[in-house]
Amino acid sequence: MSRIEEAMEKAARMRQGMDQSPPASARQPMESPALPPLPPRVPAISPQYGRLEPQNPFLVNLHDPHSAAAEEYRKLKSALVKMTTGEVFRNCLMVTSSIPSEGKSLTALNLALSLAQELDHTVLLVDADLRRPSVHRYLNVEQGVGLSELLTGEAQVGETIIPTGIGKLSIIRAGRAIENPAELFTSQRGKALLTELKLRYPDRYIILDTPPVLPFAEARSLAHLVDGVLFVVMERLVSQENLKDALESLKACPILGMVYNAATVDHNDGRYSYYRSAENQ
Amino acid sequence: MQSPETDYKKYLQLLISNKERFVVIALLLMTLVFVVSFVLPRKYEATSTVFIEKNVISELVKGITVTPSMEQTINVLTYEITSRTLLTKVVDSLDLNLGKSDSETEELIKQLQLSTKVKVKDKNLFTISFTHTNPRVARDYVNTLVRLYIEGNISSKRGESYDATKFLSEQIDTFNTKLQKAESEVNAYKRDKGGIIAIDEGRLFEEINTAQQKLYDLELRRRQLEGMRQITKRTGDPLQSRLAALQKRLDELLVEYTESFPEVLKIKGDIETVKAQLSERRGQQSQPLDPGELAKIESEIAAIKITESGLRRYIETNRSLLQTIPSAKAGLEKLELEKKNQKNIYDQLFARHGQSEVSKQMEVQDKSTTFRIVDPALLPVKPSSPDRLKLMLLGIVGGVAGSLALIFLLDHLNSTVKEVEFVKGLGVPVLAVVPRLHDPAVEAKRRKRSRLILGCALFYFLVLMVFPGMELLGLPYMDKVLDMLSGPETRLQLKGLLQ
Repeated sequence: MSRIEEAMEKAARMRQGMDQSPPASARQPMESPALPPLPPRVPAISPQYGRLEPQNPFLVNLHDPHSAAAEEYRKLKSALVKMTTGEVFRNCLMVTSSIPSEGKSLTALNLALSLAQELDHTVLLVDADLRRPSVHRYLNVEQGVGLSELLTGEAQVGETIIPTGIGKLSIIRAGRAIENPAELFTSQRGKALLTELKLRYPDRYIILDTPPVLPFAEARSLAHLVDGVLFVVMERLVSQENLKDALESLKACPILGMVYNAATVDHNDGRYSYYRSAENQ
Repeated sequence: MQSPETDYKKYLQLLISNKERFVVIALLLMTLVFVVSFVLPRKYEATSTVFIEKNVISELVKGITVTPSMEQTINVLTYEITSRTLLTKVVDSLDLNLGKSDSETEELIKQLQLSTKVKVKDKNLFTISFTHTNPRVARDYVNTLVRLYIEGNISSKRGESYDATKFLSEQIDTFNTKLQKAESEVNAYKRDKGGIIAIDEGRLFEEINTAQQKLYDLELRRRQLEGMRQITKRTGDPLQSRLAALQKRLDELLVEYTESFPEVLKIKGDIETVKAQLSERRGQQSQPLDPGELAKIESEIAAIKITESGLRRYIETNRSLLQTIPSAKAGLEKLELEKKNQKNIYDQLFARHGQSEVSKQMEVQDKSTTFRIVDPALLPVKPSSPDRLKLMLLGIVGGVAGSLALIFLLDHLNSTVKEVEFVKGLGVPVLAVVPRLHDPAVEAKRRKRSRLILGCALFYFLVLMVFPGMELLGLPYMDKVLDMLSGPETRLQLKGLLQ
């Protein structure tokens, strides 16, 4: 992607009013004496990939911001923002579910997109599902240096963050496949890494896309490290027993709430006809 | 808490989202029922209608004849027609038991009993129907059964009439003999005791009384005569009569006067005188004045005595006779009653004999109640069972219903999270309910697939409808195809049955 193009992108974005005004009431970062000096902010567009142009139709907050689904993600976002911004900014969230394929990555992505489209927050989406990474696929980025490299100490945080060019959203990919993700997460290095990510920018949300709870151990250990857990439930996929078991296993963790995914929609329901008409306008 | 409306919406939603599955399952079920309806063994039903005819004559001669009761026959019709004896005869005459062992024949008869249906309508019509895989056998069986039943029934009725007549005449003979015997006994008795029986008891009693009266009269007369005899002996003496007169005069005077009255004294003197004269005369024998008179009296007394004894004997005999009359009459009555009873029975038997004679004649000439075959069993062309059209319609309805039920059942058995309500109940807040997202490309593909499936299903359904259509129009193509498929087998079975 040429520089001219990049400039045009930026101009276009400015027209959309996304980057126009600076944060109105910038949150005071939690100052820690042990904190390393702030590294320079990552540029809004990655030098390697330029502005990402994901095509996946399920990224509704990007492609179809007026849809009912996008609205639901916005509701989720505002609820989360309300919950996490108190005296202490609990900015490190993880998204998980009971079993695979319940829509964790999409929820994480849509939530991240929705947050990033807001003016106040920068968002870092970390693909912590090292077993079946999918964030890069949705965003149309090829797999490369990512979380596994960070965990093994093969890379520095700065190298792995990829600004997407979509609002203030950056991602850390999963990286190469490794044998023992659970152990790496619980290791000191893993914990330090998480703290570092969390404290690097005071106004940034860290969203971790994790493996499911029931088959793997990572999510359970991660859930103790993060500030909040978002639980995704997909209709007609997970059995009631499994869901209960999964919630039970996360009992001691700060579960913020659930996202009920793939709900059957009654099109005659008045709630959605409003959206429909808005969409058609 | 769910309202019925949301329930209904839920089910509708379920049905819409599972429409392909629903259609496919329904069609599979229908196909299954259709195949079964064709594969089920075809059975043919032959029916014969029999009219129980009451002849006009039987109404006319009602009361005169004694016809066998038809009601009873009808009541036991079903049992009689499916009775073992009759069926055995039918089996024998149709040779259905050829080459079969006894136990097999027994089994066959049981089966025949089960598949023979007898229905009585309006008390004078009954139908006999029978189902069998071979139409020919069904027809022959029904016709034979009806024929044998009617034959048996008529001959048995005739036999009954003949037997009744025969029995009655035998009884008449017996009672005739008895009656004659009783009559002769009565006659003999009359001959023996005829005199006594003829006597009128009242008159006899009267006669005895008269005789008694007569006896008294005679006794009185005799006593009088005896008295007279004494008096006659005394009246001849004048002193005596003077004394009596004086005595009498004295008694009269004493009534009026005292003893010192002169007249009384005079009469007392006279009486003394007469008494003195009488005592004077007592010394000499007084002589009877009239001996002839006395003799007459004597003879009369003797005659009366003889008559008296005669009367007494007469009374005696009559009295004894009077005592014997009741027993004699009772004996006669007894004999006569016996005779009368015999006569009664004899008369009744004779009357019945007459009736039975008429009945017999009626039976012989077939004038009484008869069975008439209104409608003999014909060779059934169309199988009666299975009723394919009905079965197919049921299959269509059942397929739809079954498919619905199956889908709802599967949904019920599916224990996955189906409603946001369940998640809300877990105690964790639900922050967002994201509707199912659809990739337009995938959606379009799915629609296309769905349309293809539904189109195929519709086509298949129309093809399926050809079969009930054929049944409705009575086109036997499927039967022919099935016959061709199972040809040799069927032929073997037929051979086995018809040999």
